Amino acid sequence: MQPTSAAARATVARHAAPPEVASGFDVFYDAHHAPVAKALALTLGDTELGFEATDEAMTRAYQRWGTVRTYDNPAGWVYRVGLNWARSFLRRKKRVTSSPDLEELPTHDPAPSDPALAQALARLDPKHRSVVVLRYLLDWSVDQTADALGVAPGTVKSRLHRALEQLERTMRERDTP
Amino acid sequence: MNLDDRLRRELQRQAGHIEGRALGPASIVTTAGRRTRRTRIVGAGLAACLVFGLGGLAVALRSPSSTSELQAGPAPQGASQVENSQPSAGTTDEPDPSDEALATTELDDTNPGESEAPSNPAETNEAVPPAPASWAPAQLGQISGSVEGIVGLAQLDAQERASAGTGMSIQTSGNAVELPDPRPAKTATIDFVASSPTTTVAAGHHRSNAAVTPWLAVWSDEGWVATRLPLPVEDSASNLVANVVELSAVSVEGDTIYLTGQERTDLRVDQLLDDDVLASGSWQFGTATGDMSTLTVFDEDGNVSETIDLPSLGVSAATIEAWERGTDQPYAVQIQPNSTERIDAGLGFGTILSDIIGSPRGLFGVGFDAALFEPVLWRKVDGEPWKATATGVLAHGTADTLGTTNDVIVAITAQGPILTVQFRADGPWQEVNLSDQLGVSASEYLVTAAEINDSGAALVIETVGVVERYWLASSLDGIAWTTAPLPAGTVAPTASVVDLAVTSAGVHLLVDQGGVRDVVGPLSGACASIATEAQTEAADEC
Repeated sequence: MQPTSAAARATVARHAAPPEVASGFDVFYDAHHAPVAKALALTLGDTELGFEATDEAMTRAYQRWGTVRTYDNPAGWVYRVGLNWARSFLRRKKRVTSSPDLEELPTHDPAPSDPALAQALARLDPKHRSVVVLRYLLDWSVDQTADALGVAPGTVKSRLHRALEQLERTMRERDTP
Repeated sequence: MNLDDRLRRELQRQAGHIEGRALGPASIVTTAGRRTRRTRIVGAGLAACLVFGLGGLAVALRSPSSTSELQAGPAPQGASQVENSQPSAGTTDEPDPSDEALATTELDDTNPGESEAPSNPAETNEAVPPAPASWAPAQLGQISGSVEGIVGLAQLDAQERASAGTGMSIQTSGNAVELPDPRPAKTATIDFVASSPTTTVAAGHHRSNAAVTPWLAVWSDEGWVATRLPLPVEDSASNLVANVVELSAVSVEGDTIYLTGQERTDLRVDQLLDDDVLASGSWQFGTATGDMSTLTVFDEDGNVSETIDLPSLGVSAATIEAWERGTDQPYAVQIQPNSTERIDAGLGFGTILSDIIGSPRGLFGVGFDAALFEPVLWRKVDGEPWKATATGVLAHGTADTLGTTNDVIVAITAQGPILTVQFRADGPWQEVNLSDQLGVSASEYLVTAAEINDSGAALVIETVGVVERYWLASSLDGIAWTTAPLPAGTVAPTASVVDLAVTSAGVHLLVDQGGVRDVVGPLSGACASIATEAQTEAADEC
């Protein structure tokens, strides 16, 4: 079951934002919505869920923008909230996404140019895939990634290390007849 | 092309296939019907469960070496390490976007400067009876209920008293007890209190400028025995196996105290490594090979930049294992009075304990299992590792509050738009949907306080957007639940409910009005199913 569409929610919840809040939030939203949504989509292996999670997180960021805007990496906060929202959603729906197969990747990408790596990425568990996505897609620093995931910087490094190891191992196994 | 470049290219290519869906900022507004919660799950992140018997307390501490020294002596060795520690998990003011703590930001958005003015005192006096005269005049920081009655804990400014050679005090049922604290602290706060038929403990933290120092006090025949955390717990070979600096839960079963908390993994390394290594700013104990005697240093890209043989630095493998597990995994340490034994928590990689309780059926912990992707209930029986119970997976959500009443395990869960209590007697988990039971369409549901003990279970629910602001859900047995608005006048419009306690007489509320706190109650009758007396009369009040 797919989550409620963002468009439907937007219709229900359409109000004018206070100018003093909306001004700062507008800039933030325009700059970070798409990158975070794409990162969540790749982390979760589900485009719809990734965007829905981002919308949910952006809603919460708006509600407490006065606080969130003071963070070093508000986009990291949005990513983490979105990821947690998605996990909760999946738990409620009893959907297990710990190891999505290649077939479960977005169907709009029928011909990956690097199929071995795409398959290896898909086999990473979300914990390790999120580190890879944040570091290599969004180019966030270790500290930014750690802040977004709520873990220590050292944990980011070790997870990245293990993720890279697993990627290489998976690709080797794929190449081995 | 190396892996880094391939990764960047592949991820960017996949992202390019994802069509962005524009959602204008003007539509990002408060979502109607969204329900959130106010309770804070503590212990998210790294979790450590330290288990030690009362008799082992002195053994567990590195220094001073005797219990008597702990009562009045200086801080244990290593206490200075906490100078730069972060506020304890249960007290930090910074919103945490973790799954469990999402809704706590509702609390944190409150601007203290915007606190509402006290209401008419006359109005307050009608609704809020004065606290018993025997209680300390200081603010009540937390109340805890028991069958015997309310226990009041005083939260006071310790700095003024420190100059006079005294520290903070705990007041239990009218008996004030001084907790020695020779080091000045601006504030001393009691965060936790727990008791069993034989043991009472209190724990909290001191805050002094940037330093937050947790402390633990145990009531015994000799009076209160207090010590500061971190608790450097050593094994029989004097190896440091844990160093708790942040407490998130305290529980007592018999004469054994269970602490859930977090340790600082950098403290020990600061002592172990030379400046060159520390200057790199990137280190973590390696785990990939299971070699617990190696320190692996990673660079910014996750590559191994250095491997250090820790035994050559005088660090044993046991020490390293404990610290390594502390970076990513929860673990348990058990110290018996005459022996020291480290036990495996039996929790899988990435699992987190969020709350623990002691019960006649053993120790239970609830948390999140990353492998199952589910909230799970674990049980631990003396001498055995933690095990997920056969029906351990909650119906949904990660419990905010866990407890037992009359041998029924109760978990209070606020998960997205659903507020439930889940309970388990002998069979599988069952649940009562409180948000449906309230029968009102509030825009938010906040669990402001909850308690579960053998007298019953209760939680205060704050609703936003309806006339009846506060609701009380209560149960005598943890299975049949009653919900009703608090009686009119119980909480003044400008006041708020801070805490509650459940006793055999009913539910008591700790109410804050402009910084002045008082206890209201006991509530009974239809307002609270805890006390069955005068239910008929009280029905009208509700």
